[in-house]
Amino acid sequence: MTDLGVVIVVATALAFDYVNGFHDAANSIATVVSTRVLSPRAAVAWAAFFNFAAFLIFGTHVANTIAKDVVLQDVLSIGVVFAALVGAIAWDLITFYLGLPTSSSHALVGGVAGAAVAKAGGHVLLEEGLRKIGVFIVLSPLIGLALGMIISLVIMWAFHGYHRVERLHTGFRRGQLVSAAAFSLGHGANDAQKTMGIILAVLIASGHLPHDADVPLWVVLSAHTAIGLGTLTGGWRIVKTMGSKITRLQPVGGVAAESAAAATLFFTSSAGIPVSTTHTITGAIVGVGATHRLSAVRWGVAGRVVWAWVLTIPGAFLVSAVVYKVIEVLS
Amino acid sequence: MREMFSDRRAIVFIVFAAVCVAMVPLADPEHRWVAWVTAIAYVVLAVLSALDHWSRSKS
Repeated sequence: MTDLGVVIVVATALAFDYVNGFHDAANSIATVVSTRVLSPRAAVAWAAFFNFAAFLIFGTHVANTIAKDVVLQDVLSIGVVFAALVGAIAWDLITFYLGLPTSSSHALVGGVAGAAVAKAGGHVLLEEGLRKIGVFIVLSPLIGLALGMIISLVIMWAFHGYHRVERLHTGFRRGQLVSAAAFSLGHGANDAQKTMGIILAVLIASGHLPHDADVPLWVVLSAHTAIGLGTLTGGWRIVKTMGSKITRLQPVGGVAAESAAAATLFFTSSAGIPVSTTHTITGAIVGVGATHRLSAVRWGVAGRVVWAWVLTIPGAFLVSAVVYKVIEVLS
Repeated sequence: MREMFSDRRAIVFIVFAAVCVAMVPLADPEHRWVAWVTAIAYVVLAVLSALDHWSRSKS
């Protein structure tokens, strides 16, 4: 029975990863599509490949944070992890339906916290780990925004005397392939690791791995495959919001936004901090738009996105807590 | 001086810098420098935005 439970939870975690790819990874290619550097189909394939390739470069620090730093490990059980996943997936699907680019990552953190609190009360929450995640919920879009603007300014300063505009345009269109690949690597590294963390948690909780175990290779490979497949079949509602509704981007802006977001994700993934790729790229796009003037940014859309962020953790927390209570009653 | 601060970017960036500073005590000691560096970057961007606006309005 325990083994069947583990299989079900692992399958659900991979389904979450797939939905994450479907939901979040679409954002990672928004700028490439909106600047018409790649067709939607080619952009999706490009991003999916680099999502998968991320496992070759980054470690599993983020996975360990999710598995060990959000709630006390003793409280994690198959039921808690399952409820957390169902809550996070439900929240993702609701926001996907509404076309809102919220964070699957924060839905997952909210889900784990909600299910664990429903099982054993508020004392199981680990303040230090949640504080680390909370601080970077605020900082990651701000870092993305600042870097997006700085990179834009540096590019503008470096090429302001260059008059062969068409050639410059072509150069940045090609450059965007590299920046989009870098961002997809960062996305794969940070987001796939969250699923690895959940699978690691359930394997430890069920006694299949010791408490100090690292993420097994099969978990790493299956998580990257799931997110890559999700990206490959990703939806376009959110791409539209991220790529054209927040601000209109040129290839040079796309390069700046993706490079800024990629740098932020490389740092946070290496430091073991789970952040939202959506938050990061949104901040970077706003930063590029603000290089010209604040009115270049459609603040109404950006504000709607911020509200969706604010509601993500409490929303997923609540759904997961209810799901856990239902599981408890049924079992 | 009034002209210099009428560029909303400068004001918004100062607010962002303040938010980053507010995150410093909440961040774990290992990552406090990130909040500081981001805050400093926003102060620099605020000054540059104000200067940009000032030079444009002067010309």
